[in-house]
Amino acid sequence: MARKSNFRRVWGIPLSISCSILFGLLSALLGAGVWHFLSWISLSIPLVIIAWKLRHLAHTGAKRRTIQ
Amino acid sequence: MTKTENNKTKGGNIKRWFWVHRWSSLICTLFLLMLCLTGLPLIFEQEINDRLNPPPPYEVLPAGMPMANLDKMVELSKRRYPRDIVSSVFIDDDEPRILVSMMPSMDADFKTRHSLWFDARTGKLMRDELPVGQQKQTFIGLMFSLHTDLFMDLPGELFLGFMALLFLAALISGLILYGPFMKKQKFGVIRQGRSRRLKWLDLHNLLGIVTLAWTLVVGGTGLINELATPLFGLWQMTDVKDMLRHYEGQPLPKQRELGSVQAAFDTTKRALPGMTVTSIVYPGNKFGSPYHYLLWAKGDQPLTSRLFSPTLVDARSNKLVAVVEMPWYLRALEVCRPLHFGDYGGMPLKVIWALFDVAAIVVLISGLCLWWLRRKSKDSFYSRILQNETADGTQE
Repeated sequence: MARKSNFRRVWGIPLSISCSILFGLLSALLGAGVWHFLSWISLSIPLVIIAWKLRHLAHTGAKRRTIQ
Repeated sequence: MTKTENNKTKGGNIKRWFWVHRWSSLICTLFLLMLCLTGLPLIFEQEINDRLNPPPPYEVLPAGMPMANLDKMVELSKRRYPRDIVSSVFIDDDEPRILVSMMPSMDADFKTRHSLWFDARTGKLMRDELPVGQQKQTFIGLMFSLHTDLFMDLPGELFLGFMALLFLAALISGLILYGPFMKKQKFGVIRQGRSRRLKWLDLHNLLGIVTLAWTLVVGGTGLINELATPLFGLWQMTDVKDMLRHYEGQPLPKQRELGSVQAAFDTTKRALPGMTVTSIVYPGNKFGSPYHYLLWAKGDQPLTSRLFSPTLVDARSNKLVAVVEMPWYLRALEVCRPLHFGDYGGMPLKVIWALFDVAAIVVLISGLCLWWLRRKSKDSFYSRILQNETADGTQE
């Protein structure tokens, strides 16, 4: 049991993101109209996650500099 | 197997994968950086070209005008260049223009090829271009050469294809290493303060894993694109050769004996209703057939507009000879192309493509930094990973 939950903890988010990317890549290729829109949304998710994680980084970095 | 033995093999596996990751990355990183940087403007190729090299203004005419007669355009081109022969006709599906390409002979170097632009609706000559070899190098042309063949044609393509293969090995070994690295880590946490190396490592892991699906697709389709020349060559040597077998020994049609190109176009249109003819390869062209006009047509659905079907029309009689079935590997190549270019979902998709590209650049640079910093502390790195494994083993 412990092993399974560990797998989910490490791989859960990366797998979901990868599925979102693959969906986005294919939906714009195979469809038109609303499928393009869905593609933009699902491909933006990983970019938003990166931006969110890195904004956090820039923020704490700036704070540390002001303390020093 | 005891737990310690199990951990030892695990540690050995990790060491091996790490070796694959380090060397495959190190060899391809500089080329991949170059590919990412030159690929960035290529995403916006059309926009940049339109701005730097604007097309001549088109006459304003009512929509739905029929196409002017191709024979007349070809006739006019031949009158301007009586010593040259027509090698192909390109029918643009974005703009109302038709390009008639000419060469001194079909065997001549491609640099001698020159094109005449016509307005597709009126048949008026709009621009008479210099031969390819005398044109000024454009910015996009430079980026394209660096991105596809390093100015070396097929050897360059194969070399960059090999770099793409190494890149795929780096991606997959990186994926395998992600698990052991993240055992004690929460997703996406960037550890700060403790050491510069950990910060780079966490950044590398976060950006690498989040963009992995995209980099795998773009890397894989890039590799397939680099194989386009050999794949088309294979097709010409097998299927196309078979198709032309019973013409062997027949006299080759000379350019002045050819039937009407407009009639060849009409024949294909009738045979393939609902499809758009985009180019006509003249008989004798290296990329066509000695005895036929070869016409490329595509469908009008999102997917079928990526799939081109060639038809062969007899060069003298203008009779339809065959609608050619493309082999699966060329079909796959055609479907792969947009997945590499990112040009199939409007401007938002292009911007998304560019952002992923920038993320990939950060992964490459952070990987290089890690290698540089790790050279000093390689041993402590291994003991840390093995410690992770052992600690995990005792918990279970």
